[in-house]
Amino acid sequence: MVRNKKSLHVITIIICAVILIVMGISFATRGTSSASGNVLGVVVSPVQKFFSSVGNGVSGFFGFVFDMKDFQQENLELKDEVNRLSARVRELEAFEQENERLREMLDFKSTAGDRDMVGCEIIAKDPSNWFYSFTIDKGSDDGIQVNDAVMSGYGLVGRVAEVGAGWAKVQTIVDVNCSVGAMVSRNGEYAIIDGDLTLADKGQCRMSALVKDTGLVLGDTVVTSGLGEIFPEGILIGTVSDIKSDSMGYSQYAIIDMAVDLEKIQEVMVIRSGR
Amino acid sequence: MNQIFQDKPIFKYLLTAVLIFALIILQTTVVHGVEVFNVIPNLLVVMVVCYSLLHEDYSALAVGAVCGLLLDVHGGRTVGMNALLCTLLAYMCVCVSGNLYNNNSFVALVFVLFLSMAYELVIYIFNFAIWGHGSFAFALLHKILPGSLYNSLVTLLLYPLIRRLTVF
Repeated sequence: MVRNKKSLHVITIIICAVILIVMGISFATRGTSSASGNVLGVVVSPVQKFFSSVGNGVSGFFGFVFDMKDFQQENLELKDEVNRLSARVRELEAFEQENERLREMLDFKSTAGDRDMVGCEIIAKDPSNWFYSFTIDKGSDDGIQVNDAVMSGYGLVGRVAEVGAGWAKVQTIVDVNCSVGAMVSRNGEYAIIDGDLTLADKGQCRMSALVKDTGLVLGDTVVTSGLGEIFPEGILIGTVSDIKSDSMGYSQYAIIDMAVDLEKIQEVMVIRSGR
Repeated sequence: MNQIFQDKPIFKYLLTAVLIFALIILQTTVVHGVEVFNVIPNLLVVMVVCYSLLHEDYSALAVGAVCGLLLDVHGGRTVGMNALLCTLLAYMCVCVSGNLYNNNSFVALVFVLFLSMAYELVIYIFNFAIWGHGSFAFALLHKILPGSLYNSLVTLLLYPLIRRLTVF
């Protein structure tokens, strides 16, 4: 029990002043990990890795119970999809071989094959309800740097925002502070993808900077444009699910369904830029 | 057993540290598995409020600062925002609780509900509203209110645990 309220006020002010100084330092050295952050990362990361797998188990169990009734229907649909895709894969294999032959003839280099990637496991997620970042189990020791692009087998996930020795924090593209240079695959139109608080929970983001009479249609796929020098060109971001006009009517924006399901993602790949 | 802890307050602080460590691990891992309507509870905020109500001393300020700092370090943005807020939450609890709180978990639940709302509101204002991101109605209905309600429900589980581990 605090008897002297005056000393309580003084101590609170001192603590707040120290925190404000720390805030200033943190703001000035954004991106690079502090010594305390690094020590904490080394101590906490292994425990988080273990509990993360427990968390995925808990989540998986509840998901299994709630989704039981949908599984049978989904199973039938997936079997059809597998048959259809198997035929498509055989077709594409032929195209791939033909493509390789033609590339060799023209002496082109495959950009996708040149990417230096490292596989990582997600060990912790953002503790708040507001942001959509997560921590991975590899860091500067594995050659990961700030602003390296992060993707999964399905498409773009985000960028590395902070790096420690054995861990890194990833800011996902649904985060309001993340912007990605994008391009519509079908017509080559450039745009910008931004995170939006009202869309993030649905796994969607907003594509802006479109001209008024854009030729965009629902279902168009959107990939990274390579502009901005963070995200390499040609990584799938998602598909257009809605097209809207802004309040003034001068331009349009689109809602993009992300190709990656951030709720279920457990492993990612970091593209080492070696900047 | 309690006598041993009373004689050596270091055990009290050690147990509090272990509890905070366990809560931040759970907060960044397992808690995401019990998401309801896209919302998770904030165990550290519940810890700060319950601890401050139970102790009403300077250690509450330290617990507030440490819990906030851990939230900051794991959040990936400017370090200090949560630390400042959690310290102020602890300060408010210590200042106000003397007259209102009588070791009752229901009172703790009400404190957590209102202080969580204040905490989430400030987070929204400084991280989103002033930059023009997200409408207030959306934030209130989808983040602030459900998050605060979830926190207060979790208080029913956490309050007895915090009391048992930190009060001798």
